[in-house]
Amino acid sequence: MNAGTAPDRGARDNNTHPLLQIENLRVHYSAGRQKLNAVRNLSLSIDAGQTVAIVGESGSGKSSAAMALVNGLAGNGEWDADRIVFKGKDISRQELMRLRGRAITYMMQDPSGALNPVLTVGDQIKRVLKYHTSLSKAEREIRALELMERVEIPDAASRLQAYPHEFSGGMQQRIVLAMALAPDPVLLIADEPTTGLDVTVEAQIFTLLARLKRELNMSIVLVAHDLGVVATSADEAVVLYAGKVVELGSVDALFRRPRHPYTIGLLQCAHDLHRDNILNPIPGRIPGLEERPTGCVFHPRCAWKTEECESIDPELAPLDGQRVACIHHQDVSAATPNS
Amino acid sequence: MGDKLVVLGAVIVLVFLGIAIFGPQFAPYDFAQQFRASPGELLPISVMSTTATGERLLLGSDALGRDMLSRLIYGTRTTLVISISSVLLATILAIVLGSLTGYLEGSLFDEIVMRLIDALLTFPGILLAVILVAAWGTQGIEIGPVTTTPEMTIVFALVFTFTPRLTRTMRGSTIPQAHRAYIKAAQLMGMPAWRIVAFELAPNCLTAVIIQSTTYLGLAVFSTAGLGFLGLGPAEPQPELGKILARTQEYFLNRQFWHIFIPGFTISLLVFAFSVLGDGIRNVLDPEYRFEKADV
Repeated sequence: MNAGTAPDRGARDNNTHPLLQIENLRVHYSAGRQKLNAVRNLSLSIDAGQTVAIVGESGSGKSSAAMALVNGLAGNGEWDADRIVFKGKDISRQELMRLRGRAITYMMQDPSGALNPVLTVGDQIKRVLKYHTSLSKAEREIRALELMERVEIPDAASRLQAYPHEFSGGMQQRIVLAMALAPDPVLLIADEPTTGLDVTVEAQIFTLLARLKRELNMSIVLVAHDLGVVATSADEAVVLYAGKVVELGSVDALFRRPRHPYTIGLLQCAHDLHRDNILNPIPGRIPGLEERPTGCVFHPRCAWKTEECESIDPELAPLDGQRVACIHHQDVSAATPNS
Repeated sequence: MGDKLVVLGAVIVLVFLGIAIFGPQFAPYDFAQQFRASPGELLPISVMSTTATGERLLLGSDALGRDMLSRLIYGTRTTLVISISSVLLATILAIVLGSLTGYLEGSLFDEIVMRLIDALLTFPGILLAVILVAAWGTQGIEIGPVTTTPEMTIVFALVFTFTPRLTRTMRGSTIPQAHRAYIKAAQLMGMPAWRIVAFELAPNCLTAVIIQSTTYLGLAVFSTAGLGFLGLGPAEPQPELGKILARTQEYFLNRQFWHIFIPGFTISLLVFAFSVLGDGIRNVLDPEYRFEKADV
């Protein structure tokens, strides 16, 4: 490791606690006098070196949840959690906020917008270093170059002097990643990091993320709607529907044996080149913040719906290492064969 | 044709700047020196006057026997210093206020500043400056231990006149930028608000306010001279273009009305040069305008 590495890099590995635990994260937006719940009781536990995916459709609250972790909600948004544990220590929301930008960094969706158009990329990376590390000017110069090389930007030394518009979308996202890595974070929150990039570039970015995660022993919270991406790059996944966690578990288990009708529906929507299947979309659409149904939020679109579903809001129930929130989960899993 | 005009404007502005900066080196006489045609009698108003001691005054003398050319040179200096520094100060103030109110749009700070600016905007054009200078007086005002010079009083008055509109422009161009993703990214990096405004936001929003302030330079010269003409310029014997113009009224009595053209033409030339240059700078800085022209 070169200059600028956090001194506790080694110490972090000895830790047996999860890196970050959040219990019952709630996000609501106030509209006039109304309080609209965007995320209800989301619990996350992220181990060191692990990738946890938050999966859901647009409007499921996945971005709100990720934004809450870095206190980046829009002006009318507020969040709360019962407990925040970082490296085995209970911390307050304010303490969590102080970690952002240093121990916890955030990678924006749209790389072309996330970079300041009037500054060279080198200046932007050095600015992060200046603000979040105690490196000298000369050291920052060296570290910026090292970061550019780390995210595999060819001809990094001369590209430091280039402006964002001189880069392609994929290269811009690498620079955004370099900026996110600059303070040497232990947790990177990547909010749909490949939106707007084509498939080959997307694959490159995820390969790079996986390699960096290994090299830096960093954890990642990946916000995604694409199950293909989740299957290849995440260890654990939380499936969010209309602000509610409907299922969570290891990615292996979720893909082999989805237990919730919504997860099953999502998987059936995914492309499969090997099976010559017709896409099978979930009927209806995700309810808006002000039109959440009573009972189970998914019941209006659910094929397993019974009368009980309209009144009972199911809790997350443990089930072979997975957890699922559906009163019919036994029938559902009995009816869907292992794939 | 347009480009040539801009070059002409730039050349004229440069010449005037040269006069303002190096004026004292080549002004033939002191601006306050009174010449006499004979002992006991002031030099009469005329062109190419010769004084009792044999000096020839190129542009003649004013009613108090002072050399017109020297006064014109020093007057240009005064007018330019006042107008350029007032536009500069107003622009800096507008950038600070505009970017802060734009970033904090809808906050109490934004509301207070913008309502104050609305109040200032109710005064049309130069009227506010006239009122302020008349209220403060042209002798300079005491602010604690510091006493301002009369020139500073006029600069402050003009800053009050120019800042509101420039601030509105700056705020207007800041608001859309403040909602861009890179600002959000900077916030999520944990940067403090003042750093975000100063280093991330403001540099992206300067074009419009700079264009507007360059066009204000001509207006500033006009306003400075206007104040001087109305008797609100720097106190005697300090020359100022508007004041010199006002004094040429005295030539009318001598049936030498064309004397009015000497300071009058100088002021017009300066305003013209600044206006053309301002247009030119806008053409360079504003890509939309450039494309419009290219289409034709």
